[in-house]
Amino acid sequence: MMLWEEFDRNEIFVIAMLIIIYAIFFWMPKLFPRHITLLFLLIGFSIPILFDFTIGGGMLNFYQVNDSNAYELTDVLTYFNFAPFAYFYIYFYVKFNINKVTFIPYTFGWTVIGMVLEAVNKFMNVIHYQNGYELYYSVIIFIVVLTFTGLFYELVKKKDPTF
Amino acid sequence: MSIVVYFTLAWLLIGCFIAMNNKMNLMESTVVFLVTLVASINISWILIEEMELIQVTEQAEEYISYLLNRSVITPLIVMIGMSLMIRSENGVFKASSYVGAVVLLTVVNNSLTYFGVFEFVNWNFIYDIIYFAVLMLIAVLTYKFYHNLYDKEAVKQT
Repeated sequence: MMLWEEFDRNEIFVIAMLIIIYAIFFWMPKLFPRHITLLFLLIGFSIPILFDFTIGGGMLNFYQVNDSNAYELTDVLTYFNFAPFAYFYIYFYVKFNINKVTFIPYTFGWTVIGMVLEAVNKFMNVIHYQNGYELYYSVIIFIVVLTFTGLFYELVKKKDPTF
Repeated sequence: MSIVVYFTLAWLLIGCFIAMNNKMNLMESTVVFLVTLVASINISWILIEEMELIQVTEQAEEYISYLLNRSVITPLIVMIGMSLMIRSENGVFKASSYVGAVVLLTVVNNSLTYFGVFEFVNWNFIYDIIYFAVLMLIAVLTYKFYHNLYDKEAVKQT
């Protein structure tokens, strides 16, 4: 494991994003009990790790995160960048009173946001596709993950008496 | 062959976990599962890809078995061990559940070498025992932390 191969624009972008995203996270009025906030931060952190180490590395190796296939500190910071997105998704889900009818357009909207952010990450050399992977394949991942997150929130709401 | 064995094992463990009288609630179970998953993925990546202490197969079928073990079987055995520990009031049974989970994790991980999924280069079952004991400890500490946080929030709401 190394800090980074070369400190250039992808590292600067990851650190800048980290500051901006967490500034927004702490600035937003709190909507959930702390254990729910932590739960969705953890979901946002662990799902990209599951995908990156399953299809983004090893045998399939569809993409490389940051400068090399080796594990870098910048990779860990990149995963911390993803963590608040599951929280933001649920935060606005509640704020906009999303229901069965609005769930599909809401999730599509977030899929578009995800695709734009991934394109920016690609431009900033945070992610490099390889072995035939293309940006549009990520639509499937976004739709599945966002749908799961929304449904999981509904389940938590039903099961958690502190809500 | 290996994919059938590990898929069936994963299915059995999911079934056992659902059937158990689980004292952890949905949120606690999810947090313990995800933390164990993240730890298992990262540690196995460092051991295999970075330090090259274990060699993993390049055959697709066996590789899927490795993924099943890393991402489903390992966290589930930890969860079942944790669940048994929490359910018990008796310290000896708690310790037995901890040790039992570590032994089962070690046996399953070592069985991957039998099916040609893993080849231990500079690795052996003693290291496995230490690794899985640490993984169980991570799960226990995560549960304790999250359970306390949950209790505090529940008190606030009442």
